[in-house]
Amino acid sequence: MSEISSPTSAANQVAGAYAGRRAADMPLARLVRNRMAMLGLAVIVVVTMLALLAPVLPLADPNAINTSARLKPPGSPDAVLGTDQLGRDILSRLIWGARVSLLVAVLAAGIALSIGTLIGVLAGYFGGLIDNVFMRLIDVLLAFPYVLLAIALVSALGPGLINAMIAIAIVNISFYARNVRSAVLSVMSMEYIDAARAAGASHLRIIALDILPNMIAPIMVLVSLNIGWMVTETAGLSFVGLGAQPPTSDWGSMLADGRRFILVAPHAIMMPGIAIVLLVFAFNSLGDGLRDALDPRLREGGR
Amino acid sequence: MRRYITQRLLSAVIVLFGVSILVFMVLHLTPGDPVEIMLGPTARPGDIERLRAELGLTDPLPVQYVRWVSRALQGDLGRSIQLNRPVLPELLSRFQATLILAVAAAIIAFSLGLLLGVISAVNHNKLVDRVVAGFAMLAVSMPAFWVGMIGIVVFAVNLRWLPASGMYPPQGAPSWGKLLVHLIMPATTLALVPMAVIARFTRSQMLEVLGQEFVLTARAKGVPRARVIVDHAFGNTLVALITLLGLEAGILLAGAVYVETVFAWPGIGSLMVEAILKRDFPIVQGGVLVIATSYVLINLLTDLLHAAADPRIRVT
Repeated sequence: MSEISSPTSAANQVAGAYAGRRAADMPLARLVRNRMAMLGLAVIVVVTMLALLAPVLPLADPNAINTSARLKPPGSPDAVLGTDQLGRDILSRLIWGARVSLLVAVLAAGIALSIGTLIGVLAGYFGGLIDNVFMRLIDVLLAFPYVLLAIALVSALGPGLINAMIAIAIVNISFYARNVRSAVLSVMSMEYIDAARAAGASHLRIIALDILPNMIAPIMVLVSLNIGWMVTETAGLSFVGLGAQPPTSDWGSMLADGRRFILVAPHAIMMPGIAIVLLVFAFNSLGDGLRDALDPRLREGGR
Repeated sequence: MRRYITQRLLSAVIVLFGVSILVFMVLHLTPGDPVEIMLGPTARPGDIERLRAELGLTDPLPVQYVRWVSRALQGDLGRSIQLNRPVLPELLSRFQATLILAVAAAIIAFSLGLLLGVISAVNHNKLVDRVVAGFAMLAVSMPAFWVGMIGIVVFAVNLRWLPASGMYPPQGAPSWGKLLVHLIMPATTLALVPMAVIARFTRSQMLEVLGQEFVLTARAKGVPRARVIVDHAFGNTLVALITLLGLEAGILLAGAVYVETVFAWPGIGSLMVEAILKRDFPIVQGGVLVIATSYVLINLLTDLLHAAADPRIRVT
């Protein structure tokens, strides 16, 4: 695959895009002016707060089974969003499920980001043999369609939420490694790198003080564009039964539960689905906004 | 060009080698004894020993790998534990169903995606452009397995326009018409994400080309706007679109897993999910190998096509 087809070739040049800026053009000001991105940020903050506060909120027990109140429609007096096939309160399950979905997505992104950045920086900075070896390994990872590799890994590790998270993290290492590597390459051509080298700075010093600070902007863009995908993917693995196992449940396993009652109670799949779309949409809007703010020349492209 | 082809072929072979090692290792990464897991807790010790010897699991790993690869190259991917049949024919028949689904989705995605992208670019920053952008953003944010279920509720259960699942009706002889009716919902569901990606990509490519000097020159010479858009801008966009083919193939093959599960489409994706849940490792291993190999070949083909269409690629 050539560079242009990589999911976010956009971040490539972000690092080098800071020449001659004025206050109104500062990335933060541009981001704040972007209404969609701000809306996305608001949704993310609200969902995160709800997830964090779940234990203290006045919610029904998400796992309390009440067979006399099965599949109640939304708007019922004691279940605003209705109940599922075991009479469990859907609103409460959504909020508790948000904890699982968010945590898994954030941890998976963190793992993929750390390993991917390490590989990308080493490959981009040292070049030559190291670059070649790492990039061939990445090529092997890229030889699998994303979900397929995750499925293969889950099959090896066994179904379960932690294993699903590890699989999703490994699958995304290539995404970060490739994009960080190209960002490093664009920084490497800057004169101050040559200056630092001429002044006798060590490799470690150049990487830590000159390269990594320049990676923060592109990495922020990469994470925000990637994390929505991770939420979907976790839900997907749970939906086909490879992720969250009972009694733990996330939005994906709620969808899988609801699927069997699709004819009599479509609300059981509507609610978790809307929650996923809302959160993923929010992350994607914020990611797009961040990318535009950090480098307006790079609108569009990527997913 | 010949040098580029050789180089590209060589790297595809290396990648396939890496893929084979990774796929081989999958079985050995499994915590615990794969044979005991395969046979389950009720297995007798004699059966475990027999299957272990039969699978050659007592040999050193490199020996096992070489044997596995040479068998795979001859089309022998082992026997399915659940179905007790050779893996390869089973995989290929299921893969055929997946290909039908993926190709149908690709046709929908490319035709609608190109159309939406061109409309957006031509109406840059107008209302139509914003609506398309919003729709594209929504489409990439919706999980296919959820969209599929909504589709079933609306079009199969309430409106009764389309069948809810399967590739053919349970009774009666299969026909093209029946296949087409069963294909509409899964293919459209699978097409949503790639369609959005193509629309966004086409739009940005078109805008880039429309801003270039030769487009301005053509307009100044008096070439009609519609012809500039179709001949000059769209023509140049198509070459760039080739690079998307590989990415799209990945999205389609991956998305197929979920869409097949929701619509009970008898493809390779749903087969593999069932196989993982039933711990049928030969099917999983073979399935991953078949899909990854075809994906590597698609990407190889994409790169060669792109090099043929754009001479600048071959140099770098």
